[in-house]
This record gives sequence, structure tokens and C-alpha cells, in this order.
Amino acid sequence: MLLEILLRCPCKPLLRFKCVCKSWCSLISDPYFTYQHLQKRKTRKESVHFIMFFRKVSPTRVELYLVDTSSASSPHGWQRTALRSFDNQYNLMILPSVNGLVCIYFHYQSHPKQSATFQPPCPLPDWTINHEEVALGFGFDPHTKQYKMVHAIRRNNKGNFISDDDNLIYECRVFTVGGGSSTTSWRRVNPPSYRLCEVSSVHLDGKIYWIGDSRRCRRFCPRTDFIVVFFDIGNETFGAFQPPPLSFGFM
Amino acid sequence: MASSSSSLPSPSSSSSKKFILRSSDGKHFEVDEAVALQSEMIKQMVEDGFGGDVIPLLNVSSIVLSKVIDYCKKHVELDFKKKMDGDNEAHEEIKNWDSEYINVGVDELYHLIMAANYLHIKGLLDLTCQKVADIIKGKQPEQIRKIFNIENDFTPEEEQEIRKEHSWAFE
Repeated sequence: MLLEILLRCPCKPLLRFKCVCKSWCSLISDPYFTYQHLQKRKTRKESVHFIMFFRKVSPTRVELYLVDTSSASSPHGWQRTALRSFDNQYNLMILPSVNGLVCIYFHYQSHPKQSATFQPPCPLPDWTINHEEVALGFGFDPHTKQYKMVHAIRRNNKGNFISDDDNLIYECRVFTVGGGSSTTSWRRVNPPSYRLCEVSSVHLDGKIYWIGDSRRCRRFCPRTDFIVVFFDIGNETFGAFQPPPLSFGFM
Repeated sequence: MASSSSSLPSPSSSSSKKFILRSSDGKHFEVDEAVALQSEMIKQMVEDGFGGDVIPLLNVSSIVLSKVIDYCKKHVELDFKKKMDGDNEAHEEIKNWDSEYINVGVDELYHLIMAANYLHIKGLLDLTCQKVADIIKGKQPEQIRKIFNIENDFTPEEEQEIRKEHSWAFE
């Protein structure tokens, strides 16, 4: 009964209700609850639209804002909420939302060190190697209702910065969020055998897609020679396909 | 097999099959088949061959049952209207009727939820749970604990941690 009631509450009170007691907290934090909550919203055709962005609030802090564009018909009435602030030393990136869930990536600028956050924060292992190419993915496995983050970095075999003619060596890790078999660390998976030309990706129907390059060592992706690289979230493997050629190139 | 109950014939709607529901305090309610079948639980019982007899509802008192039957009757009627008059008008009427119907005290709401759950009446369960959700959504955790009689099993530090993590939700 409690489940049926909580599934009908909006998100904001649900976050407050996490501190009612432990059993409420674990119920509300369960990814399957999140999934059911979303489905309920969908069947009632209650869509909400948000814009998320970072704004520099001081020389050292940036604030993450959420703007509810469904709160009013004109932009002047849109509700704006400051979610939390971050240290300005990070390079911050918001990955496209999946089922309304957003993955935020931050990269510490002054060290070659990566960090990704979820709640609770789960730092990536420290990599002291130099790398300059990172590809990120965030997606949802419709079968297990689990969300997964994918983090691939490219480096050369000597540990130096990548040059154009280096071989393609990726290190790829996956982090699973919830859905029962909760994990607390990043797992290594077989890396892609194609170049990922974009940091960001899109997620659709259990797969994460990047623009890639079939020629392994070219630094920049020529617009006429791209492929689509995908990561199957269920079986954790990479694949690729050649889209139909475009005479004018890919934008 | 199950034949329509002839013990309490109702001349006004003799064409429709009737069911007799018995509340926990022993009162009998005669209802049309369509009304009774709003309950998935009764539907299942009928499919299993209980339809001809009095259907005992051990967990629902007569006061609550009569209120539940009001709901089912109205929804059968409105569903019919919806088919006849088209969606929009009926939809508006259902909405208005429901919001009037559910405007009850907390005790009654509790009994309605339990009944809707036991009888498995999806629409009523949805309506009652939504009402509770609407009541609690503006409340603070302390008030929720009071309403549901929940003991706070967090340490002050743990609670503070959650509050900090979601501070925007407490504004």
C-alpha cells in the first residue's frame, strides 16, 4: 500500500521522505522504484521538462541549476532551482538524460585524474597515465532496470600523450547503478576496437551510441568517413555499423 | 453452474444478472453484475464458480462497502456514458465526481484504501492512493512519521547526511 502511495508522490517530497526511516529510504532509493515511478508518470501523461546547466557563481564555484520549463507557459515564470555547487577546478559535463536521470561527469583540470559522480559519489580509480581522449556513456538496461555508466579512455602503449599515429588502445570501465546486484566499483570490460570521436553519447533502447572512426589511428574524424559505434548495455560489448553514405558529409 | 440470484429479485432491472455481497458485519447488498465485476477479486471468484451464492467479503464493513458500491455504480454508469457521449464530457464528469467522492476524512480514506486493495478495484485504489499522496506531499519527514506512526531509526548524523544530500528538496 505504501508503495502505491509513494509512487504517486512527486519527486521533491520523495527526496524529503528518504529521511523518514530506513525502510522508506531504501524503498525510495531502489532503482526499480524509480522505474515504476517513471512508468506511472508516463501512463498519466504528466510530462515535465527541465533544462539543466552550470553557472559560474564565483571565481571558484559553479552552480548546477535546474529549470522547470513546465512550471509556467512563459520563460519568465519558470522555476529555477540551484541543485548544488561544484568546485570550479572541475571540467563539468552533463550527459544526455536517460529516463529523466542525469549523469554528471567532472574532470579535475589540474591533474590527469578522472572522477565521475553519481549519488553516492563513486570515484574512478586513479589513473596516473596521460591520456587525452575520453568517451562517456550513460544508459539503461530495459531487462534488468539497471543504469550503467561507461567510461573509456584512450592512451598509447608508452603512457605518453597520444599522437596521430599511435595505435588505438582504450581502457574501458563500466559502473552499474542499482537494480539488485549493486556494485560499488568500476569493472573493466573489453574496449571498443574503433575510435570514439565524441566524448558524449546518446542512449536509445538499451544501447549507447557514439560517432566513431573505423580508421584506428586518425586523430580527427573526417566527416565523410564516420561510423556509429555502440555499446550494448545488457551484454556489455561494443559493436559498430556503417551508416549510409552522405554526399555532403556528417554534421 | 452459477445462476443469477433469485432470492432477492429486482423488477426494475430483471434483465441484468445480480450478485449479493455480504459485508463483514453480515449485511447483504444486492448489486448488478457490472457493478460487482468492477472488483477484480469478485470477478475472479465468479470465474471460479462462486457467482450464484452470496459473496462474503470478510474484510469490508457495511459502512465501507456501501461507499465502495457507490463508487462502482457511478463508474459503471459513467463508463457507459463515455461510450455514448464521447470521451471528453464524461472524462470531466468522472473527474468532478471522483474529487467530490474522495473528499473524506483520514479514517474513512484508510478504510477505503484497504477495501479497494482487498477487492482489487483498480480505479478506486488509484483514487484513494493519489488522495493520500496529495495529502502527504507537502509534509516534512517529522509530520510523516507522526501520520504513519513511524519510528525514526536513523542516527542524527545519518539523517543529517540525507538532508544535506537533498538540501534543495527541503527548501
